[in-house]
Amino acid sequence: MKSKIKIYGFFVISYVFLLISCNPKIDNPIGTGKLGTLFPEGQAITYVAIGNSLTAGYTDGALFEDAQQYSFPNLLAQQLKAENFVQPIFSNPGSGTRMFLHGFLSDGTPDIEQTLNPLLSAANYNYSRPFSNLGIPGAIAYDLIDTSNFMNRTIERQNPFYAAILRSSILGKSVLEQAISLNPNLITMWIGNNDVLGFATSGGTISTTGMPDNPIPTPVLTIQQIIGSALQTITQKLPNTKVFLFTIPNVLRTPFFNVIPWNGLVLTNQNQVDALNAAYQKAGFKFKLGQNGFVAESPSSPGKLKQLTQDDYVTLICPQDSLKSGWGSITPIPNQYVLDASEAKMVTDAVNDYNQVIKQFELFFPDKVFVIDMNAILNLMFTNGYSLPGSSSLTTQYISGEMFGLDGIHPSSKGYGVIANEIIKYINNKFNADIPLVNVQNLPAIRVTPTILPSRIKQ
Amino acid sequence: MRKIPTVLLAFFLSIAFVYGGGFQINDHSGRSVGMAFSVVANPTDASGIAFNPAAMTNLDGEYNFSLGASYIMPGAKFTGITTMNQQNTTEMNTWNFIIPHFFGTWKTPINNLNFGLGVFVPFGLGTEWPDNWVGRFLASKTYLETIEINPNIAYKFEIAQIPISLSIGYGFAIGNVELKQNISTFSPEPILTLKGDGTASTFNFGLLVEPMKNLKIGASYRNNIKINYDGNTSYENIAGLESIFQESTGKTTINFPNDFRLGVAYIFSDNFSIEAGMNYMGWSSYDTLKIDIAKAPGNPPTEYISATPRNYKDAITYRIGGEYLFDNFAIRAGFYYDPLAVSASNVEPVLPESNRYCFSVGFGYKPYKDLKLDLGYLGIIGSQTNVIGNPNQFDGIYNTWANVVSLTLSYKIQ
Repeated sequence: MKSKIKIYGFFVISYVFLLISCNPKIDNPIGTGKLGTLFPEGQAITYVAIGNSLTAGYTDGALFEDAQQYSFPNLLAQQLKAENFVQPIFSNPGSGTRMFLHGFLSDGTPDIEQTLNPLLSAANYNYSRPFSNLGIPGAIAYDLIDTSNFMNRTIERQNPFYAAILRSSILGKSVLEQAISLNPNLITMWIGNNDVLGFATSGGTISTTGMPDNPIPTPVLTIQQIIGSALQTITQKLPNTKVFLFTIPNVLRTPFFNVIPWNGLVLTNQNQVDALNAAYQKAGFKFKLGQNGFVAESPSSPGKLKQLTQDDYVTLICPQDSLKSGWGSITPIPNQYVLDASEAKMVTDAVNDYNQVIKQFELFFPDKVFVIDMNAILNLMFTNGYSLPGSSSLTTQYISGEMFGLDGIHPSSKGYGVIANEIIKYINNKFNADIPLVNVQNLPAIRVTPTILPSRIKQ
Repeated sequence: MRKIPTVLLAFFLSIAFVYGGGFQINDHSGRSVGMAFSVVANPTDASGIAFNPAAMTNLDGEYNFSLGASYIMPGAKFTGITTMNQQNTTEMNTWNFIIPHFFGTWKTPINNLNFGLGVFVPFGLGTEWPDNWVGRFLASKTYLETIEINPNIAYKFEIAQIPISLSIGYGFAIGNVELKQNISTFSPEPILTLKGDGTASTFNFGLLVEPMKNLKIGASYRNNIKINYDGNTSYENIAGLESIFQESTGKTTINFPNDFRLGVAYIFSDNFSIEAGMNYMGWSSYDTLKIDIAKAPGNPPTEYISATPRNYKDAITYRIGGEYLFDNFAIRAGFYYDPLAVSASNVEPVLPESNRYCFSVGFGYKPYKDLKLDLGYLGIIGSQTNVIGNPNQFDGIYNTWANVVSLTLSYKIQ
């Protein structure tokens, strides 16, 4: 009798013990992968991405394998379960002017090293079909339809990516031809950024390739013709294909134009103030103790000099040690590091014009072309930040904002995750689909490479 | 270069010591576990000090000792983030705890005056999530323990022939806290560890009334334990980032809730009794969490003081438990319901919380007249907590459970 009770007691204990552990019960699952009205259920997705560095997954000044895996097209392809999505692979450290953050100096300045890596070939150069990611860093809108020799273009523009990504004209004579030959039913197209970017980052000193040397960004009419004809071709040859076209983010919102303040000339000594006031008396520039607008070259200003105001921008690539040793006061900041107010207006106007044109294509090609307003998302990030569940909000602050990589223009891997998610949100909303979002929290933000590279030891 | 601080500092706001029923520990003896802690009116060994010290007047030996430990096996899963998708379910790492307990009582030479000492762990918590889990910027590892050394005196007297016992006790609490979380800005991700310790004093009262031979009514009050922790911050994975992430001193305060218990025991026969009771926990003590870090991450590091509202509210737990005695065996069973002390939207991965349904069984054995061995098992099933509208937007589904086994050896010197 007693031993029975004992056994029974232990039996109850062990039975209950095994019982308890719980699994989620989900009434209304989200992220089921349902395609809604995007495509008939069960239809395979063949996805091709067309564009420039933003499509390629360029970050930290280069295109490299570690970051390419988080290009927005690759993330999108994974979430959509697209078939055979192949990117050109640029093995680490990649191709371009790769920037490495070694850490921060004791004064808080980021310790960034730039290394030139003129890698000319993708690791999977011999892949027998066109790449699904046809984002070519540096590509302008015209490159979409340009059928000139890829190698010649690479040499002329000192840009390895035409030859490295497009490779052979047998695969298709232009980006567009190669894209169409893959017979995709889904295309993302994000082009036109470089048509204004080159002008902007050069402080308004360089025209877009092929444009008269005024200098100017690509005229909006040209953009309209190129994108229009590309969309015409796609919709004719691939009548069941959906094209997602993105607006151009206003590059002036990126850290590249917002790290070095226009009024970063800090004067602590009255003698300096008096000397500068005397030196620039004719020009009418005023200096006081504390923060002052830098003095910079400005071809459109009287005397070709200008004291910067809040409407002017100093670019991130302006050498900071030069600023510390006197640039911007007695020695003006050279023109190529400053986008003055009139140049900045040209940039903003061009972006606005491009975007107006881009938005209209949705009307010209109903149910075939869909426009996602990436510029609006960047603006939101600039003004309010982009909140991420369980993590800090992404902003356009350099480094600490996490959205942009070290070059200050291209998104970080986390930033590309946000772009992928905005596309997915658009698709889910528009087509009543239920594609799972990327867990952006799990993507790297700012890569830190504490190791000193061999090239540095020499210095 | 612009300063870095805003975002790096923002994560400090998210340091959120969420606590509730989930880190109160009641498992102070094999018998009490077996009866779902329904031992406020009729504890029969020295472990009653943890539940109602006044009841030690009813112990029959001159000395009583209880020594044992509980093995706590908590588990949790998080599904979500549901605002993004529900494709990911993460299970918390297995992290089990051995929580020891010791109690002793003494019938002093002074008539009807008893002395008792308890050393036990009234609050404790440990959660650890996998390295790369999606909530690691809120919590990757959390550990908290409060040990209480609790001497009591109890006195028994009669009013109108009704026996009444009263007790008063002093509590000295020793607390440790550790919190780890990742920082999102850099890759590899820096890991922040906050560690602190502190002590506090508190007090407690007990009451036992026996209006009828078969009826016992017990009540017990433990005042809140407010521990001021002094500690430090340290970091891992910060090669190159040392100028931003500097080790620093830090301070925080946690006010552990007061605890009021009531129990009514009815002794049906010499070998069968049932006790029903309730437990009022003043979780609203946790209205705000204040943290002060002398050198918080930034460029340059600066002092950072935060006060985060936590919005906890008081909660009532209901219990019932019974015991059946054979010659030298006992079997026990119990149940209690422990509601969430915070609105579901405020549940965070530091402590996955839920409304909890708790079932217990227990087994006692007396190999010798004065020696007693008690084994208790408690199974805790948390109802699914659906978090919507979380302040950190960390919406998702928590499933929680726990298994507890407690073993106590009690010895009596006549």
